[in-house]
Amino acid sequence: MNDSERTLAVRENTTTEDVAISVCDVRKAYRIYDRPLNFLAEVVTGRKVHREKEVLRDISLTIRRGEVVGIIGRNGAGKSTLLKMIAGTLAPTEGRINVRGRVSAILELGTGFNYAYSGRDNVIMSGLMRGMEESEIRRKFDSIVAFAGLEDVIDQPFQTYSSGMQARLAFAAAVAVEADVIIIDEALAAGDIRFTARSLVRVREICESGVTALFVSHQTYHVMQLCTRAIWIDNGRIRVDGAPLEVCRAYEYEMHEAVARDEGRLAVRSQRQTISGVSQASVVAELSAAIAPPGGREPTVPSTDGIADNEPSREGNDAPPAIPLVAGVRAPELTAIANRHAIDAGGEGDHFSTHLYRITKVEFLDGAGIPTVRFRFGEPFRLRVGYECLLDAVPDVSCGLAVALTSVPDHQAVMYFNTNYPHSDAEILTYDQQEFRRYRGATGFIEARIPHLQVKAGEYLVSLGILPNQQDFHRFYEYRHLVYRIAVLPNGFPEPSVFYAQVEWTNGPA
Amino acid sequence: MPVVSSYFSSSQELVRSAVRQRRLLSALAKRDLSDEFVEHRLSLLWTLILPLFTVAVYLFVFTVVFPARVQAPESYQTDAIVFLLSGIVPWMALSQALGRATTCIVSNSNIVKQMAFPLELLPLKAMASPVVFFGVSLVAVVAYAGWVSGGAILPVYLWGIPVLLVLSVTTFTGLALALSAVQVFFRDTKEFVSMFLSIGLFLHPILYLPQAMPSAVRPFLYASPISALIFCWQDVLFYGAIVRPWAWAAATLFAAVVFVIGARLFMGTKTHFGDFL
Repeated sequence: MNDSERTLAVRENTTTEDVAISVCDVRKAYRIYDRPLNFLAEVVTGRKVHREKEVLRDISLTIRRGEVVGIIGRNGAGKSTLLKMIAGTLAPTEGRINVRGRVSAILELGTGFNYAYSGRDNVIMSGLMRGMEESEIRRKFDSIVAFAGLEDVIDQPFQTYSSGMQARLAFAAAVAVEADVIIIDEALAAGDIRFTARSLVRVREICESGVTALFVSHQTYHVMQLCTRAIWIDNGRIRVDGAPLEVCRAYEYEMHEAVARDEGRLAVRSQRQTISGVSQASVVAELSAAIAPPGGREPTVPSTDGIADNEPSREGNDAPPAIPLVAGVRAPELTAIANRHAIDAGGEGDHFSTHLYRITKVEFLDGAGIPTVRFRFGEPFRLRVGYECLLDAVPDVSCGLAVALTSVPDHQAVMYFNTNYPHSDAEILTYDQQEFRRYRGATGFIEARIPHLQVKAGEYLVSLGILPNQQDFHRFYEYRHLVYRIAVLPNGFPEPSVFYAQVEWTNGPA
Repeated sequence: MPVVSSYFSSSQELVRSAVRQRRLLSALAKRDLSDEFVEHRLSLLWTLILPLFTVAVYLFVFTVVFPARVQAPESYQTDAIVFLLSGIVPWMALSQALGRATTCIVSNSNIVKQMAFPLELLPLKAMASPVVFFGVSLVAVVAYAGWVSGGAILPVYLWGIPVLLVLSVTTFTGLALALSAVQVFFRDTKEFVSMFLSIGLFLHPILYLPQAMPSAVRPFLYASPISALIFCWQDVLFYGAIVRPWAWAAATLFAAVVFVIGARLFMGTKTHFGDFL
């Protein structure tokens, strides 16, 4: 695996002064005692009487001073446990952790706050508890309160604050601590949108100030924005350690795979129900209900009906008319696909695939049809994606394309367009009559043409995926996350905003 | 030998941590005194009113209702009230110390798990209320005993009270450290502690002289290390002299041992607290 090589390389290149955090062969297992007294018995007698639940193993990390490290992973993967061990609130079962310098950990907002005291008392007390000097707190007090936006109520009891105000004050007090190593566990989501934005700015300032920062987030978006390095913890181990983009991409693919795998399981269950005598129609209804996006649009002409009307089933009427994801494919086949998929899941990391369809070619073209990755503002942009069906029978639903453009380096989503998203009620009614949703073939090309590219000059990452042309559907056949890099060059004066509209003006007598 | 030295290094570590963070400790202690009653108008007073009132009730019952049969020493004009106070005051201080300290880790689980915080400060700050209680009630004792003895006993108090305060607080701290750590792993601890505190008042030589106990039971009375500490307080406050030197030796030894073991138990297990909360 290349992540272990990377870790090794980091280890060799660093001198000890550079190292802020070193985690060496750490294992963490929670001990489970059948009776609580057994722990004391163990201390006294030295005889082991507990069972273990392992949450982390083989964790070795070297984090250099100034690195901003994002830790991602599913719930229960061990992210928080790792942070707590680095923060010192939990001890590793085996291995060593060394942290150089003063550590400030924000593992939970409001720890040590007392509801009966005023906001002022709580800021002072929590500062002291986080290791600040009284003089330091006094110096920063006004800026803490201003940051939380609570100047008017700071002397009122903490319990009279709304939960948003409480979170704001707690966050403001926590980030005021000056430290060499700062550890943040999902604290970014505090307060209202305005405060979230402000705290993100503050965290970015902290990250850019040269301290070593370590934080857990479920938002790969935040990790890509803020971090210089990302670590994906999966099932108690370091799965990937590297550049945020690569790590987050691999993580996103895994999430898509998990969703697809759940669908495979669903198919197996439906098949069993069919055998035990449940009618085909109810199976179809269940599958459709499970796969259909929540809160479907109204008025919605059930697309399954539409497809069935347009294209008489090749296999006769005993087959389900159209199961959205893999219409025309029967449950046993779907199970086989799911199994095949399960085998491949750990393999290639550069894209996510369900092995139902695959992308054969991706071309970015200019107005003249010449391949390029450099576009000019206001000029045409064309994207051509070739695909191929890997199934024996082509599904009853046509193949679509979804594309997203993300700006570099701040990872803002700039543009999103796809073939399966209806934009009006009128379009819903004619959904299946659209030319680009009617073609069904074993191979094909989808081309997207933007006559005037109206995004600001700069670099962009393109994510794209092929998927069934099913309304509002987002489960991909194949998905490539942030894989292509294109540049948009200015045309005349630089545009001041991300999107620049081409406007027709009039001005005249009223 | 390494085992013994690890015991002493735990104590050293504890003392060093407390000294290094004395500002934080005093802020925590100050807050601890008012924590429970912050919404009450008399806040800090309430932490004192309840124990002082309790002391007053005991005094009333055991001087008026059941007069304690104690003989004042020949050298000083102290009386039964001073005798009772010299036992009740340290016992009430002990109750105050252990009542809160035993649960100080368990009830602050969020601090233990979510904050890189020197946990030893939690049982240490719980010593604030017994110290304040000691202070206030000893002022009353000194005033009363000084008055009834015509000031004759005060020179003994001058050295005796500081020495016994150090001895008592050391003992309480050791017990608090040990019990707060044990409470994490064995949640029934606090029930044993509260049982001991409510029954112990009557099973220690506080409200009566040890001679009042049947001789068959008397060895148990002497066996409790708390008895030794009570004897010392009675020696100073009531008798105005060291009349039971063996009690002083036992109390000093107990204070040292309980502090060293408590520190070792706490410092040795505190990294595991997070796993059990």
